[in-house]
Amino acid sequence: MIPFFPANLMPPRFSAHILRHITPGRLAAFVMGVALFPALAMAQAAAPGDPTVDGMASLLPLWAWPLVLFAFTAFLGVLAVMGGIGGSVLFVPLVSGFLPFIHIDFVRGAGLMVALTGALSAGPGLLRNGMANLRLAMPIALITSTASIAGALIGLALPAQQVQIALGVVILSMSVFMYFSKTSGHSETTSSDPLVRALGIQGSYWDADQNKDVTWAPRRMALGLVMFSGVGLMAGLFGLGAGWANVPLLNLVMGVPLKVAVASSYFLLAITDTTAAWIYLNKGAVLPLLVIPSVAGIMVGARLGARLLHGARPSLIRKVVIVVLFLAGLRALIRGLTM
Amino acid sequence: MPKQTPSKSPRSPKPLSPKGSQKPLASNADERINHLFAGTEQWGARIGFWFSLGALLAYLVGWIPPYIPLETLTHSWGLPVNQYLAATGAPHGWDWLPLALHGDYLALAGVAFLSSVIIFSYLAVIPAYWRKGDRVYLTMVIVQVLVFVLAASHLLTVGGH
Repeated sequence: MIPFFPANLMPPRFSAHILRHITPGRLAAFVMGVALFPALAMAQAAAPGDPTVDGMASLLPLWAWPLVLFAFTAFLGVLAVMGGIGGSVLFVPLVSGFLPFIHIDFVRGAGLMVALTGALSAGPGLLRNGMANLRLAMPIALITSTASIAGALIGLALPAQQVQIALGVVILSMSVFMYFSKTSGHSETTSSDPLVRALGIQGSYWDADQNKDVTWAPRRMALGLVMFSGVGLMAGLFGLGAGWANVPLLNLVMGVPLKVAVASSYFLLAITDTTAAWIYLNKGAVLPLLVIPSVAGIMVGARLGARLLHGARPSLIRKVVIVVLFLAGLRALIRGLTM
Repeated sequence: MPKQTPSKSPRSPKPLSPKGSQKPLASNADERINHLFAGTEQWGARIGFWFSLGALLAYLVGWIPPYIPLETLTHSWGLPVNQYLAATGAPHGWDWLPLALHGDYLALAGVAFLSSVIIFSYLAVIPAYWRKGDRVYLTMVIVQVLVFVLAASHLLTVGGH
């Protein structure tokens, strides 16, 4: 799933031996201990709205910051994979909630890089096995990436309070949406949509579950493009990956099979987030000290999460993720209202 | 006009048309474009990630001195980005490039490279679309590259808050 990550450096037997002893409970306890308690302690000590808290830096030695971020985001990565969502959707609300002394401008910049790197690592495999579809994704990506520029510009011009409130509302809505969302198994083999026919978008993939080739074609392309412009705007505005919106739009609105929708969503994320990330980079809102440990942590966590998924109950974990998202959204909203 | 990527199942090396004919859905040109894009993306991500990680470690252990001391950074990262830039003297736009010999901006160069991987992937497939004669997608790829360049150019600026 994450082809370039460090587990490749470990001998397979050694890696398997370690992973056999890592249960979801043990891992959660370990990461909670390493990351969440210091983070919570610091969150308690931080005075929201007092950005230059000198005491904050002295709570931990400076070299410990990347380790805290790494462990914290590794935990998020496990949770994200097991809950079937992108890491940055959890990253932005939780990091801005637990580490309130880091301004949300920098958290959003790091969130975009987390989403981008995750998409870059998953994308090549999905393209090669035919699950991600370039002909489908390229027109959508052009719309979302253009909209994400506008979103990033708006987000960086708005006061932090308004961004926090809007983020809280969006995350709360997202958790409700995830709770009620369904998927569609229906897809057409040919499309009567003139735009789809003009662009020659049609696909086929081998479905191991059904033991057959599945041929598909999207529908309602124009409506989908309009709706995707809103997704791009939010991706740039909040530094969210927007996979949570890509998949239902592709599947439910455009009739793309779920597996192709998930895979093409990764491709879309990479393009949308590339555009928004450059706006944040140019603005000076990307701090390598935040970004690199977070990216590494999310990817280690995603890899562990993928291993642990076999022994876990996905429906239960998905519910846990929805509750965590709801609480994170509530915290962001309250924080915005009390700033 | 079916044009699509192939499935990789050993049972089904080439996807067939819906009517069951032996004509594959994906042309060789499309397959090459997918592989070209995927290969560029994969190698770009690897190089960018490991370079960033190495540069960050060199910066943290003090092998390459930073432009902004770590203490200053952690005392100022609670400020909105405009105030942070003013407080630390950090550059914006492309002004960081001449500072890339400092540890923190060397790590930022790695992050910037990661942010450019998709641009490289798009550039890599332009000749393939040209050879294929797919004018619609060739135009789309070129326009997308222009959007990336616009975003990366620092021509689009915003007011502070």
